[in-house]
Amino acid sequence: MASSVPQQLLRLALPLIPKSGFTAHSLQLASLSLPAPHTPPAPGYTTHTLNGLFPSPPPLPYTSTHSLSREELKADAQGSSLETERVGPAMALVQEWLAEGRRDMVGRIREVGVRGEAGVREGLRQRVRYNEPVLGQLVQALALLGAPTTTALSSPSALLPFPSPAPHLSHVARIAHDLAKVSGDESQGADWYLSRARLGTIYGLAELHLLSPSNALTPSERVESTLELVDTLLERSRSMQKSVEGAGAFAEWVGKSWMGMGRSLGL
Amino acid sequence: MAMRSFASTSTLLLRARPCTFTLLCRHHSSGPPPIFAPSGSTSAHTEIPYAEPNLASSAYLPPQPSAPPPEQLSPEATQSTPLDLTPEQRRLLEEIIRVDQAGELGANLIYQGQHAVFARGKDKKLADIVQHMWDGEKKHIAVFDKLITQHDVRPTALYPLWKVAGFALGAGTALLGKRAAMACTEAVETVIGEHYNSQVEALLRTFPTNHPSIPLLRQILQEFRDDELEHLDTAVENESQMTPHHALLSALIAAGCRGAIGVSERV
Repeated sequence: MASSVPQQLLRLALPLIPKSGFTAHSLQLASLSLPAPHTPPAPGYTTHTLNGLFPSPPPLPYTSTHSLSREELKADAQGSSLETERVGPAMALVQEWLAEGRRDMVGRIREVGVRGEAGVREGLRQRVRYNEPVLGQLVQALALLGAPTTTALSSPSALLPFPSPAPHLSHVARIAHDLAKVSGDESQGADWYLSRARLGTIYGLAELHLLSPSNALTPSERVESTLELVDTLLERSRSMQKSVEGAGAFAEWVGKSWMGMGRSLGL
Repeated sequence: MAMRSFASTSTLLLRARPCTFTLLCRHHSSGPPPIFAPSGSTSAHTEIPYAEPNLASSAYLPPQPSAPPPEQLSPEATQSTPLDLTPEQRRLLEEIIRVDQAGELGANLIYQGQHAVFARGKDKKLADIVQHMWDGEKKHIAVFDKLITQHDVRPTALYPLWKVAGFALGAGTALLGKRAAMACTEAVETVIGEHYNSQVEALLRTFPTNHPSIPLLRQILQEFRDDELEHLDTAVENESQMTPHHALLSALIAAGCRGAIGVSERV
């Protein structure tokens, strides 16, 4: 199925991220590799074209504090306003990179052909390793996830004095859901949520560990240390789950015993 | 006699809603009690019945060891979900499966609550009637457990709440007596039957039929609708309408069911 120009552009920009970061510049460079007739002349798509392809609201101080004057409106239309770079193109690139990370993780589990806990472990390790080439830009990427996607007028969450945690939670939840699904998890009801909460927590903690500043370690050492943490967290959460199940079974046994005693007493 | 004719009339009216060709045959599974597979349990912690010949739901149930091989459906019908749905179609599919699984969970717990009370009483025939209806619901929840995984639908987040509420409603009405319990069954099954009916209509109206899982889902909804209406008939035959304040009790329970349906579709 043919993909749209923005989609092609995002895919072409993915290999450029380690060098050019999660920026509009990566997309600008990628536009030079678009197939004809979409190939623009050098130096590639302009900032305004990219802003049009991946729209986002102007930065908050520009929109929320006052109405635009006639001069500001004209400057905005001409692309010569003094506003800072809009985040739409970079955010779109982050989203595509995250989606590619999930595809890579799912592909790895299917390739290895393991399911259950072994599949979960393989997928988590692959997803952690996926971060390694862009480790230096990972903080920037996750910060971009929290940037407002709407104006304060259309979404009250844009008025929050701190970045909304929803995009980060959604990012972790998607990884957890894909992991659970592809590793054959068929939990039902509350267990469906518990299994995803467990996997999301493990990946979230692993990502935090990966982001924590440690100048003494190289990127590959940081990844290795995070993989060890993943194994530890998987093991601990599994033993905790067994304890809870054991406690549940014990409570059930106690309840049934009391019911049996009640019946024997003629109640 | 008057009551029986009312039940038949209400049932016919309900059945007359979807479209004329679905009236020609009943899809329900009246007959001997189901036989259960020796292992496995549903999300309502009930047994999983074996498949019955010629019923659409059998595609998701284990075949009896001694039974002739069932009619083979394409694996696509029972193992994949359509990927070319519009967002509106996807939303509808998810709502249908999520709310139906929650509804079947509630129905199982209602009958479980009623059975817990009647099994301790002297009227064993009444306990058997409730057990028979409960056994039918076990098949429904077993099938929706499979459907929710197949179509990658998030189950309702209120699973534990519906478990408690269902059991409390069943046990509470059973404590009020046989007629109140049957009035509860009548009200619940009327709402569920109407709801299945509207879902069958929505599937016919909204969905393409090129993916084999959709016609199969529609047939299953028709089968379950007819099962629920049979339970409604059973409740009326067992004096549901002779309970004191029948109209008020029915209206309250039906309103509660409709509220639960509305919430479970979204949450």
